[in-house]
Amino acid sequence: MARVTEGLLYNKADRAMNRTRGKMLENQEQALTGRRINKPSDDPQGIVRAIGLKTKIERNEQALKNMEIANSYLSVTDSSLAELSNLLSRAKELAIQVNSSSNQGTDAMRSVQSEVDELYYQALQIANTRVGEHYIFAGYQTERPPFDEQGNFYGDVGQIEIEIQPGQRVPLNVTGLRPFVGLTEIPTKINDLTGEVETPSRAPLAMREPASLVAESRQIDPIEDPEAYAEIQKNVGVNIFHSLKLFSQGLSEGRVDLINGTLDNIDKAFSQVLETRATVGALQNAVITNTDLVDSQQVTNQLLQSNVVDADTTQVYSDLARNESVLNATLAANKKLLTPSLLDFLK
Amino acid sequence: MAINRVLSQSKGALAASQMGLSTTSHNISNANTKGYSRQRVEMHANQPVNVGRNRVGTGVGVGAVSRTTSTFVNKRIEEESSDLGQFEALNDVYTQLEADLGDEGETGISSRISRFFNDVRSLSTEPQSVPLRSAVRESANAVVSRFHGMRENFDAMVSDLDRRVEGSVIEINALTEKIAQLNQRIVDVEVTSGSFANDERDSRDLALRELSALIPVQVTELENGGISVASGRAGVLVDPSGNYELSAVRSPDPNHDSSVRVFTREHGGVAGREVTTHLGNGSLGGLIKARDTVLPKVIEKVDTLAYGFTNSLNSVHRQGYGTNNQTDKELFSLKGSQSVKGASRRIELADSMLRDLSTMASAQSPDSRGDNRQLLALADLEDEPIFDNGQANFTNFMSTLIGNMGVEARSVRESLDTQTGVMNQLDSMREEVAGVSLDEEALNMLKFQKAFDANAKMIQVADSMMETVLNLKRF
Repeated sequence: MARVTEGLLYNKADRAMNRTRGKMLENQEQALTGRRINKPSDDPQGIVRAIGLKTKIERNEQALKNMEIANSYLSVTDSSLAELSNLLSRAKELAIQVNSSSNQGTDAMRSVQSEVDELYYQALQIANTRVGEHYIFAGYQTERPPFDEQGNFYGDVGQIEIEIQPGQRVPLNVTGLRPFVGLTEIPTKINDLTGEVETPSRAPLAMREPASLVAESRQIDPIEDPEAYAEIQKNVGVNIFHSLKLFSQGLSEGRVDLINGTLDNIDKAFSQVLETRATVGALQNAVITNTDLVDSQQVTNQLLQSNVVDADTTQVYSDLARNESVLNATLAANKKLLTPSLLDFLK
Repeated sequence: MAINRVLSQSKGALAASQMGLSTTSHNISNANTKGYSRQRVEMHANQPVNVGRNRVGTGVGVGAVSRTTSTFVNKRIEEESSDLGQFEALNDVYTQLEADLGDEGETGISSRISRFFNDVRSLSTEPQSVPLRSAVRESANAVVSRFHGMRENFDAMVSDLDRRVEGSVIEINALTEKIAQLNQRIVDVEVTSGSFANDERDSRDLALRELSALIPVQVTELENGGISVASGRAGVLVDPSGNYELSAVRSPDPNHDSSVRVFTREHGGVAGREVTTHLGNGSLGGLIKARDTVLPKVIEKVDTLAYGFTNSLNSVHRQGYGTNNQTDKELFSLKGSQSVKGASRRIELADSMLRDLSTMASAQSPDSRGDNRQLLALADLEDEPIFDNGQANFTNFMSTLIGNMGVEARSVRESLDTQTGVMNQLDSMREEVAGVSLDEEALNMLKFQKAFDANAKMIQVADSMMETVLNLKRF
């Protein structure tokens, strides 16, 4: 039979207490941090997943913030364009009124003209709408007004995109070129002297007859190259500022041809504004749909993260209680086992 | 004369009981002494004499005071100590690494990198915003300082390991010297007096055990009671003529990764040679393995991350234009050399970025302050698999490193637990044989006390018998 010595008993007692206390330390750590994984070795696979999920969650949070910003840009853009539509309606009303009116008295004409001039400045104000410090219709040239007093466009067609999902982007702006000037791109010009192609993105577009502008600048002859000319014509709308100016000019000079032309121009302008609003609406939709999508992804990701990382509180506390009672039992047993010795009885 | 014989026998027995009592007292005194083996007095019946036709006993003789110990268990303890020592050393390092790389909170490198990319995305909604630009710079700076912090921790761990290597070598030399001295005393005592040098042997076993925790040893018992100790490629550490020291040398070569190396000392015309990588198990071997294998692997990964981060971001950033229309500028710079090695130490924010926030490239074309395309291109790098031959992006790369480190740390901890269990088992086995049991000693105390009493009574009886004999004539 093996000898049982005091050293053996004390060592065993020591180890038993240490083991239980070690387990309790682990429970305590989980209970205090609320986390199941407190160091990589607790669950190496788990920590890899946890890092991936954390990155995803933070990135989604950023996407949500960005989409909120995009939404506010697009809302302002949409309401500006709605205002522009109203403004065009009023201009059309006035044109019809002047056209059908039997007494085209100078006084009546003058009061209409002053309202048209007022509409012109309203349109200019809309075109130079800002969100914060940024002119929303200026493309990338957001730091200065895209239109000057004469209605010259200084912006470009830049689309400020934001990430709404990894690898997926939407623009948060539309350029003012299409709704206000009636063009889809900045026309390139060929320098007469050098023969080089110039992109006058930073130069103001001259106030010209819109229909002829692009064709002329590209030096495309409608007779020589009718297809290219037609292609360009298709993309050409009207310059709203120019149309309003012509209207005003017609009123002040009493020129019926100009006033009649206004009706045509305004109808064209309506459709180009509507077209832009449709684009804005589609973008807004994309943003809202994605916001919902990312929101629900966040819920899933957070749930997954919690499953990986968080301690099961009930489990932790019941483990803690169990280990505590084990420790108590160990201590009680030690008290009984370690005290008695033969020496106690040799009296 | 029989009464005289009783007297002298009893005198011898008294002495034997006293020796028994004093050994018991020695045992009780050393019940808690580390490495102590219980001792006992070997008694035997003396050579009897012939009285007439009968052989009459002549009492008790004291043989030797010997220790009770198990050489087999001691040998096993020496072997297993080396494994335990190695796992303890490795576990220390992994515990520190886990604390440093435990990338779960807000402070880890991977969360700082993703924070940086998200700040870039935030800036992309308002490319010219100064507060957002400065937020990007701050988060870039947080990445840089985390790289520096990690690197400093690694460097501190390396130099701490270097110091511990030096300390271990000093300890090994002290232990081998102690073993050589004990060898000498044991041989002296046992050869000259013929008795056992029990306590010296206990001390020598304990020193061997401590030595084997540092470095694996092969022990050979010699006939005269001495031992010789060798350790694999490090050669003989102790032989009958004395001990052979190891030396820890700080490498003068600054490019050498491990700055403290271990050599054998030159002796007997044999030149010292380097044994740094041949130390086997034991905590010294563990320290060196941690310093030369475990840490460099992690450091290299972190350097690769810092290098990849700097270069991939710079190459995109250079193509863009800042709000001041400057282009071909860097976002980060590696001060000094452009190599991967040490990149985590040398990574800094580019000077131009520190001086002027408007240098931060956001646009693909000049003069377009609302142009955010370069920022989007920068942010896209987060998904770019630029590491491990196009297998991993920043997050994957770092989480793989942490995951692998966790697996290794866990396996070392499990080995340590197992090994601790083995050692506990062996300690219990040793304790069963060599440990002092106070109950047993109390019984021995009673036994020897009673024997002493009885022998004293014997002397009394003999004395009164003698008196009776001397008084015979008076009647």
